[in-house]
Amino acid sequence: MKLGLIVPRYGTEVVGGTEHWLRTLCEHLVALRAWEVEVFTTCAISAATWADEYPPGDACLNDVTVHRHASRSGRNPAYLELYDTIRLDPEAVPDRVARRFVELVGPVCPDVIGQAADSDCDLVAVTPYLFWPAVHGVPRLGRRVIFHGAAHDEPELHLPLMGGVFGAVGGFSYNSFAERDLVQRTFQVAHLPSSVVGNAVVEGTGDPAAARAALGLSSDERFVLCLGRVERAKGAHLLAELWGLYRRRRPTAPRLVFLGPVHDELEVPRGVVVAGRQSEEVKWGALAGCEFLISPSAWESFSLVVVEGWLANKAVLVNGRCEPTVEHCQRSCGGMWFDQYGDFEVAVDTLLADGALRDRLAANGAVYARRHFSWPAITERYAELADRVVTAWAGASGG
Amino acid sequence: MARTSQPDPPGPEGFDLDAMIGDLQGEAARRRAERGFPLDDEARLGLELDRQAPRPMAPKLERLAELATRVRSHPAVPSRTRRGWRLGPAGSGRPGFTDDPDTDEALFLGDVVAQALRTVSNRLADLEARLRRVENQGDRSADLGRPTLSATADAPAAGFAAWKEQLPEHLPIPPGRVVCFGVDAEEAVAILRAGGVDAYGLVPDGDRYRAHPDVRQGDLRTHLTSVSDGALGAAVLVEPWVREPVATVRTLLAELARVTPMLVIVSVAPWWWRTRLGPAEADLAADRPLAAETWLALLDRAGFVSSAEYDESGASYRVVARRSR
Repeated sequence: MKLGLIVPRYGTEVVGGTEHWLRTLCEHLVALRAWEVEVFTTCAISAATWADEYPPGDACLNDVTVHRHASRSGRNPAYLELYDTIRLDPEAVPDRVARRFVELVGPVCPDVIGQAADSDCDLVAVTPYLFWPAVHGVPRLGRRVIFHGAAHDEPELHLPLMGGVFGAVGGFSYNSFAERDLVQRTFQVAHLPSSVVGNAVVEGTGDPAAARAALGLSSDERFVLCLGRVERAKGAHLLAELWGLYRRRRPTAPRLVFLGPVHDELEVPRGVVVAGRQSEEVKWGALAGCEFLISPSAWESFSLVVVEGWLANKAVLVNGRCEPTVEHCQRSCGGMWFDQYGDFEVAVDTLLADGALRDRLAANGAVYARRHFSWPAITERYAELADRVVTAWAGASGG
Repeated sequence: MARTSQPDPPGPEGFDLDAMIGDLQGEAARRRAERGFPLDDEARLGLELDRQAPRPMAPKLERLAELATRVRSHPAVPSRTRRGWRLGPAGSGRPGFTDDPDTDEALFLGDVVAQALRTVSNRLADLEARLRRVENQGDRSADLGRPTLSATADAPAAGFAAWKEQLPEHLPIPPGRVVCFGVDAEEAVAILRAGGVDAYGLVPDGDRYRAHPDVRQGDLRTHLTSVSDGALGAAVLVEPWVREPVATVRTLLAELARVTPMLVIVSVAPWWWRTRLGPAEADLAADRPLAAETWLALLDRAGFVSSAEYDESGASYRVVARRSR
């Protein structure tokens, strides 16, 4: 099997859940299933600008061939002006306005699509749905596409323009059942081959004592962990407020540690530590040493950190407005969720007080994570999906 | 948020997550009733949690009603201001929902409008329920006092077994995928795929990460609403809709006619049911499959030309239907 991948940015320097997932998927398809993989991408590293930072041309990264092209244009801040219109009533937005919006969001790079279309790849994975390469690439590549939409229930998904994108693909790789349900109730695509492939998560190791030192905690201090980018959209600021309120009512409660790059400045209340970006060793050490993990984000299509928490044998507490993470908890019985401060307070009280419950939730989550999200399980599901897409495509084209 | 997922089987023994979450929510409700619980902070943070969450685009009406419930934490009363009458929070000295009177007015107006919409929504739901009851009057088996034909629990496999080897020969080779629905969908998919047909399946329940990845858990009605017109080559229905009223079957056949030109129905309907009960009563009895003749009539109405044949024992039949218009 020869797989292509269209993705706006690709490389080890790229920070982003979807991009990281697709890069590691490609590398494991090469390593575990002997597939050939070619990536068609821009020279961007940052999604905030799509500025050309990598040199254009061909490269090889962990046995994956990467073709990089300079973009005609990156992210134009003028898209924000159109976003207000789109947010109000996306289903009423004319295609010409939606196309203009997509063009302003960028990255506009026709060479990526042209090279992928002309390639001899059996299938082309495309991700994510809301940027220019997907909106323009999918209609051209049609049933050759395995779509990694990474869809959220956000205004852009409801643009009429997206009906033509989602309806044109050959098959869908979903991150979660919640994402599949969302896409299938938004577009008439349920008959197309699809699989909830999920994400693979690899266990790491780290020393809790070293992590405590790196995080500025005392050697035996209890703490609760929030892992990932510190930004408003990820719920970090809300969690800081929730924790601040919790600490006002429970002054002796452990501190909450945010571990991850700070993208939006956070006003730090008492009882909260913002540790910033740390090494993988510190991250896994913090996971091993914490009482439990909180995922406050409502905008996840899979949530690597929740599964990482379980692999580190920790219980998790997630935002009840995030269907995929709640679904993980329901299916694994490995965590709880909160909808309001009251639920949050009771859940935190319970998790801090009941070590046996924490262990039980963590054990349930670990079994679930290892059963479904190891690389052999993931690549097998993906290969099976690819076979079905090829079969359906061959049938549709009379081949 | 609706909680519909099931734990992965085998579920952790003796662990009831739903009960635990229920207990936590009960405890949270108890604390809210206590003096000193920060209700205002909770309301403010709740709105912020809503604001920073995906906003379900449908049903918008229910969402409005839900938001209105939150806003009503301070009941609205009219009061005189320098600029005229306005709606404000009840009780002297109680704070408004925000610091801005105009914003408060807009919020309270939204509250009133949303409540009106909720009344309309409830009325519509009531009408739908009444309509469903009227539709179901055609399926009056429960009122007939007739014997219930519940001895069919083992029958579907036997019925399907009689026909499964002949499935591929009656189906078109692609274009178009083939959906198999029913208790034996997984086996039907395997047979069809072995015969070179691009099939996938739907089963009423089971593990969502199934051994056969293209057999999904779900119901056909929901599935069909998300299939585009003419997208399927055929549909294979194995023992379908045993407990559905005829009116519902008609609706489903209309949906099937929209998405596929061909149906194959395999079902169990022993001839002796009708000799004992008569054809109409047999069709109306609880837990019954429809008689083959009933299928032919329903399919004709749905725009299919169909034929039926019984197996040698007379215990099961197969209907093959092609859309005529």
